[in-house]
This record gives sequence, C-alpha cells and structure tokens, in this order.
Amino acid sequence: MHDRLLAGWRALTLTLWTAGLLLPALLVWRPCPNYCIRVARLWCRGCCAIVGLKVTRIGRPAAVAPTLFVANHVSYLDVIVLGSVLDAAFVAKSEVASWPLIGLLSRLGRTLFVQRRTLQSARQCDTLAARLRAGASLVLFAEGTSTDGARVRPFKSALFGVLDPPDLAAAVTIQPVTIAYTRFRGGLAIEHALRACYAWYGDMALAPHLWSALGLPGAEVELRFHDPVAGRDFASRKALAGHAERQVADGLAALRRAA
Amino acid sequence: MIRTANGDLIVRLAHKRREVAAAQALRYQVFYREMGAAADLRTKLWRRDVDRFDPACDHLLVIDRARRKMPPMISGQVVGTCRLMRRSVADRRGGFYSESEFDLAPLLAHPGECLELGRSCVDPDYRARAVIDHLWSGIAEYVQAHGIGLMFGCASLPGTRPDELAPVLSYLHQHHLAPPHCRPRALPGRHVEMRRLPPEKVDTGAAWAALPPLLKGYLWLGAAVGDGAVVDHQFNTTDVCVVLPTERVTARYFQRYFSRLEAREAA
Repeated sequence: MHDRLLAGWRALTLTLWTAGLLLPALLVWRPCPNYCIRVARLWCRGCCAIVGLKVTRIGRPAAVAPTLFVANHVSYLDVIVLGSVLDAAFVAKSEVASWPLIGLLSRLGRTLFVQRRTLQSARQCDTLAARLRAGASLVLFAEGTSTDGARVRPFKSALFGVLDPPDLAAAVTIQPVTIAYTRFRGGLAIEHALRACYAWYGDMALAPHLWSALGLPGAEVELRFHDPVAGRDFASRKALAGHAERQVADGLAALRRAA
Repeated sequence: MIRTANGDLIVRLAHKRREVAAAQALRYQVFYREMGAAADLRTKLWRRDVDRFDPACDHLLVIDRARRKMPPMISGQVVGTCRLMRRSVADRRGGFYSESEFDLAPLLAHPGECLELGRSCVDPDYRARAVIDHLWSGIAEYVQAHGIGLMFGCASLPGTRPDELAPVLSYLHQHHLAPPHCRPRALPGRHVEMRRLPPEKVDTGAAWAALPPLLKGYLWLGAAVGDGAVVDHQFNTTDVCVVLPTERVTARYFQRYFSRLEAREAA
C-alpha cells in the first residue's frame, strides 16, 4: 500500500517548502498580520499539491467578513485543505500550541487557541470575539474532535457561545462546510477500513499516520460550502448548532452517495 | 544499450524507476482492466501490476515518442512491455516466476545463460505487428548481448476453463511439443492435461487462428511448448510453458533485424 520512496520525496519537499516560506512569514508576522494569512494560504496550497490532495469546491465560500466557517473534522489535513481556499484563521485546542513546529506554524497562520473544557469562560470568548470584531474570519471544527469521516458527530453548541454578544450575532455570517475525502487519485473509493488512510481520529499517533499518508497516491477532497446564515435568525446557540450540523451531515451524505 | 528506432517507436530497456512504473501501469491496464485479473487492494490503489520479481528484472519498453507529448511523461508513452529475467539474476532471487507453475529442471540442466520472458503486453491502441516486432527486436538484441542460449516463459491463453480451450491446447500438444530433453512439465498439483481432443478432431487452422498474437509470434519463431497447462485464477488465464532455443530465433527475426541494424550502422 505504502510507497516509501514517494513518502520520503514528499517529506523532503514539504520540509523545503515550509522552510522556504518560514522566513517571509516570520518577517511579516508582526507588522502585517493579515498578510500572514495570505502566506499561510499559499503554504497550504503548496502542501496540498505535495501531499497529492486535489481539492474540489462545491458552492461558494462566503465573501463577506467576518464569517464563521463551521466544518466537520476528519484529519489534520483538513487544515491545509480549508486553508488553501479560505482566508481565515483556525480555532484549535490549546495543546496544539505546544506541539513542536506545528505550534509555530499555527501561530504564523494566526490560529486562535482555546481550552476545550472552559470554552464558555469569558476570556476565551473575548479573544475570539475580538478577532471577529476586527473583521477577520474564523474556521471552527464544531464537533470538537475528529472523526473517521463517515458521519458527523453532534456539534458542540458551547463553541457557538462566541456569538452570544448581540453585536456579533448581527455582524457575523455563519457558513457550514462539509469536508469529505471521497476517493484516491486513480479512482479507488475511500470507504470502510481505507478511511483511516487519511482520517486521523481517536488516539492515532501523528507521525506514523503522516508518514503513511505521504506514501499514498493522493486523494480527492470535496468541500461543500452550504448557504450562509445569520446568527440573529436563530433563537439560541443550540438551534444554530443543530442547523449547521444538519447541513454538514446532509452534505456529507450527499457527497458519499455521489462518490 | 538496446535502442532500435523506427519512426516514432523506439525499443529500449527501462533505466529509471519511473519507467518501470510506466510498464507496470500498462500491465495493469491490460491484465486487470482488459483481461479481468483479480486485483488486490494495493494493485487497485496504485493501478500498477507489481510483483516481487520486478525489482530484479530488466523491463523492455516499446515507447511511442509521439504520443501524448503534453505533459511529456513517459507514463503515457509506453505502448508495449515485456519482462526479462536471466538465470544469473534468478539464482540470486530464489528462482524464476515460471517455477511457481512449471518444473523447469530439464531446461535448467542445460549449461549456459537462459532467459525468462514474461508479463508481455501491448497497449490496446497499438495491437499491430509493429509493436510486437519491436519487442522481438529488443529481445533479439538482449539475447545477443548476454549470450543467451535458451529462452522460455509462460504464455497465457484467456480463460480459466480448460475444456473451452480444448482445441487450442490439443493443437499445441500435438504440433508444438518440446523434445523430451528440454520439456518443462506443469507442477504435479497444478497440471492440466493438454491432450483433450483426439488428433483427428483438431482443426489446425482454426486452432492457429485462435492463438493469442504473442504466442503465435513465439511459435512462428520455432518455439515449443512444455507438457501440461496451468490454470491461473488470479490472472484469469490458462498458461502453457513456451521454450525457444535462440539459434532458431537467429534464423528468422535475428537475421532480419541484424541485417537492418548493420545496414543502419554502415550508413
């Protein structure tokens, strides 16, 4: 299944690509944070190409800022996939900040870190709210964890607490996004046991999984952008979470049927 | 080393991993997609026919340089391939591919270098004489370069029901059986009898017409077949072992190609 030479070649090009963009990113990080997201997007595109991910967009990402993109979460690869099409920062669990290299790269991509247990705490929401008020878009993996990509877990309504302040509920557009790894390059469907080839969930170790993913032919990834909605149209954050979850789950079911 | 040009078709050995992969991709197209071999997951994932002998073998390629120029990739340009394995290589690798189906002891008793041909196939769009001729000319040059005295290999008939292949198998046994001193035999557990019809019931012309082109090429060069066929369920074929002493080849293709080569070199 696994081609070690290919994996080695991709690991090398990934390293060079990352090293090459690191310096420009570090230079513009402080003076011009928004430009940093552009560099991150370029980096993500390159990474998708190197890893062999062909991203197909269905629907259009909301062009208004700030937008809160709410997606399901299948793999660490979601970040480069979504990052390659969206000018938006990610919301990640705080552990990520301490991972070597990945922590640095996420900070360069303007990632916001939250403690999962205490999300409702005022300070956490304040950081997210401040970013949204500044007009920046965010990506939120609303399941709060990753799955094997066969179905969608219940969205955590607590994560939508950031939209509680009335001014944000009025200003922020919310767009549910379905992400699906449908087939390998060459046509073999990613189903059943093969899901674990790209999906990264449970207590899988990162390094071996990345190494094996690099040695595969590549995959076709489909991104379905659902209709954007406004936060003020929903009575509660629960209703909003439920709506987004249904949209994402229906989108996933449709993509799986089509695949 | 082997480089025979004729218009846009050239024949040569694969030098790079990428070129071997292109040959494996063509084999996948022909054996799995066209002829219905049963693919495992790895084969389906990469769409290449890979086996454990590949790294040790030489891969002869017929390349159409005019095909699919953009992007200029070798993968779309390999239109014919065949796999060559010398005895000296096989000894290091624990045997020939054919030894999984046939007892080659009578052949290997002969001293000197011998060569196994296998996995030969031609792109469906190129099933004309030209490509097979190129393959043979490449083989001829390889044989010359390595001082090979005897060639052999499994030739495949489509289908896994020996009774449906009865006329062809009977014809081969009747008219092309190898002499006893160099006659391979199907392994005891897999041996399928080739004498399925009485001689008077075999329509020679029809049987010849039903032969696959590559096997026809072998026989036309003077090849003989071993005793017994073997059903290969994975590849959806019935295999016979073909033996070809190279002095017979020299008499035909070799002469033809070497005269052509010499003419070119003289010019």
